[in-house]
Amino acid sequence: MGSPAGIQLTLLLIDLAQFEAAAATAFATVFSPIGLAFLVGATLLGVTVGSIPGLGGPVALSLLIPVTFELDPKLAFLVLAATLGGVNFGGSITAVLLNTPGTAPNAATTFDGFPLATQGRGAEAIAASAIASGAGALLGLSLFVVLLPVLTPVALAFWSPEYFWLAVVGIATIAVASDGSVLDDLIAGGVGIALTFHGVSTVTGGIRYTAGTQYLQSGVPLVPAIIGLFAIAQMVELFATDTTVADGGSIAGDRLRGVKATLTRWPTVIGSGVLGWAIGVVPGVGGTVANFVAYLQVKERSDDPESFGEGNIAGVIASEAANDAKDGGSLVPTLALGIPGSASTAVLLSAFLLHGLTPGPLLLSEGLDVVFVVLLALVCSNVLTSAVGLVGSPVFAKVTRVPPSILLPVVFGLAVIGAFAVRGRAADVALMAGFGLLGYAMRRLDVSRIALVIGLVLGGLVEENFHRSLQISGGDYAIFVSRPLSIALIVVSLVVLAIPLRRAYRGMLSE
Amino acid sequence: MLPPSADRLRIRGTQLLQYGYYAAVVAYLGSWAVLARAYRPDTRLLPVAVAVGILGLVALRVAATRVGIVGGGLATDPTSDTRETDTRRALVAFGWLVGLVSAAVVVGFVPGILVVVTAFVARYDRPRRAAVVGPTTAVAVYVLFVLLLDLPPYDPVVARLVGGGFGG
Repeated sequence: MGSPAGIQLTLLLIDLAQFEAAAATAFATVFSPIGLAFLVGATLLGVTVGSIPGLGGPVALSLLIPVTFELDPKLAFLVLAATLGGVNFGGSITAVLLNTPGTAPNAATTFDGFPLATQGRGAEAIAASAIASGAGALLGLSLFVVLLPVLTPVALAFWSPEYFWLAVVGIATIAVASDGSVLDDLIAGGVGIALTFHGVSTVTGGIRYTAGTQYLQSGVPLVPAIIGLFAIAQMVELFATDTTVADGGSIAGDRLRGVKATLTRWPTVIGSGVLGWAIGVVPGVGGTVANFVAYLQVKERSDDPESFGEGNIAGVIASEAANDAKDGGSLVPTLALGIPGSASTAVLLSAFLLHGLTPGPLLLSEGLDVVFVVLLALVCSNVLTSAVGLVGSPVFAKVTRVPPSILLPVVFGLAVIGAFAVRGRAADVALMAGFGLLGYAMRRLDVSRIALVIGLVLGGLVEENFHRSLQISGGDYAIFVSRPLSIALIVVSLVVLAIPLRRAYRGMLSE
Repeated sequence: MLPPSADRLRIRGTQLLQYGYYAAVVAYLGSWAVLARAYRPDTRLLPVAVAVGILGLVALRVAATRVGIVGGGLATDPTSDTRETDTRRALVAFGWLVGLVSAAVVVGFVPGILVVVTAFVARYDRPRRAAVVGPTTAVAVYVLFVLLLDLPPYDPVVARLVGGGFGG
């Protein structure tokens, strides 16, 4: 970890010759025959793993670290970065086709992606997602390279009270994201937060609500919950209705509409990408907030906000552009400060340490070649995933025509082993089944499962930073309102909460 | 299209499900208030605050329904789903899930998936397809999770009984 002044000094000390040498080494590594083979293989693995519900970037990277440990560090990071590049897009495939976000950062993609799939426009949505993902990633990485010296102080400006309020902003988005009953969705979000209170409090050390079991001491795991709430519930729903995901429409040819839709909405791509990137700069918040905030700002600024949630392709584009751009942002604190910007980069950070590289200012001078390999691999893998998405979208979209008699057992099988794979605990599989039941009930009742996941992801962040703030201030609650950044975030959360009221008021006026 | 009587039954069933859902939420969070008394003040502060907030929202939700702000009982719109849901088939699907989890615990994940996927497709689709889909899924799971991702080892019940590990 280093001070902003130290980082800027380090960047100034990197002379042009060192820069060129590192760039040449990175190009030679990535574009060597073995480098290209690893790049393609890791990207495809990332897309595959990302498309399996619950298995996202953190899981893929943590499982790959031991596998790549024996490799040369540059090749190891090539594999890890390319996998990370593929995972994000992979997660959007199931979000669109099966209403199941591959990972939490793909959650907002389901809002409009799945309605498009049910209308027989799955290939169009995937193609749009592929282009938006690639563009978002390239934008995020470009911003990383250009703005690294300027924005590292921003990452350090966030203290515990600001993290607390930022998480509150994320939770407040539940009220805006809701298309059904706001009260129902706020309750679901609250239940998600409540679920994070099981187990040991990481700050106070107190053990709560474990029902006397050792299993709950480590809390409610996120991955089995997501798999159960979405993959299991969606498959049961399909089987119960005895239908395929898409009932009508064509598959072939739609992808060009998806490409065109993304290209004509370039302001959405850039706006959402910049927003996602900026949120990614803030350490620890991760992509869950980025894709929701981007989705909501596009929805609120649209001339036709009612079409969102019904299959508006701009919703998919905004969510995916932000989701992929945030990785470029999260590299700022990860590589420059040694503070993980997201769950995936936290695992990447541990990989650096395992290879004897210390993230922070020293990495930018002594390990610049590895940094360039990571950047170049991310760029190449995102270009590759866009190509895979474009070429493969009609094939992927065929999933929407597979009858539940085949789709259900296959997804069940992947879900069961996916829930087990993360921690190697059979009890996680049983928990996944329980969340499947809950998810199905919520689906039937039209209660947002996404709201529950937002609560589940951000609840821990809220509590941790709440207590940490009070520890810093010696129990003085004024710490939450004493800094300008905190005040700004409080205002943002109030504005976000006021949006549904404004929406209701506009609705009353139009009637 | 369901006959009117069946439609009424479906709406009634949805309403019952909603009451059950909110009763479960109230019971889950209400129990926290009792349990929290045994915890340190800083440990119980946020959980109790969140529980009280949610219970307040549930009360508001019920009150809104009572005064008719939200129509159709607690349901937002119980008739909005145009697909006809067969609750019995949903329960059957959960039964298969329980079967799959049990098979994975008893014989291991890869063999369990092979057996259950094959049986399911054979039962609800064509046996010929089952012979392709079951083994293909099992092989894909084995290659991805066991070979490539080095799945954490798990000894199924059968392996423990015979004293050896199956792996995966």
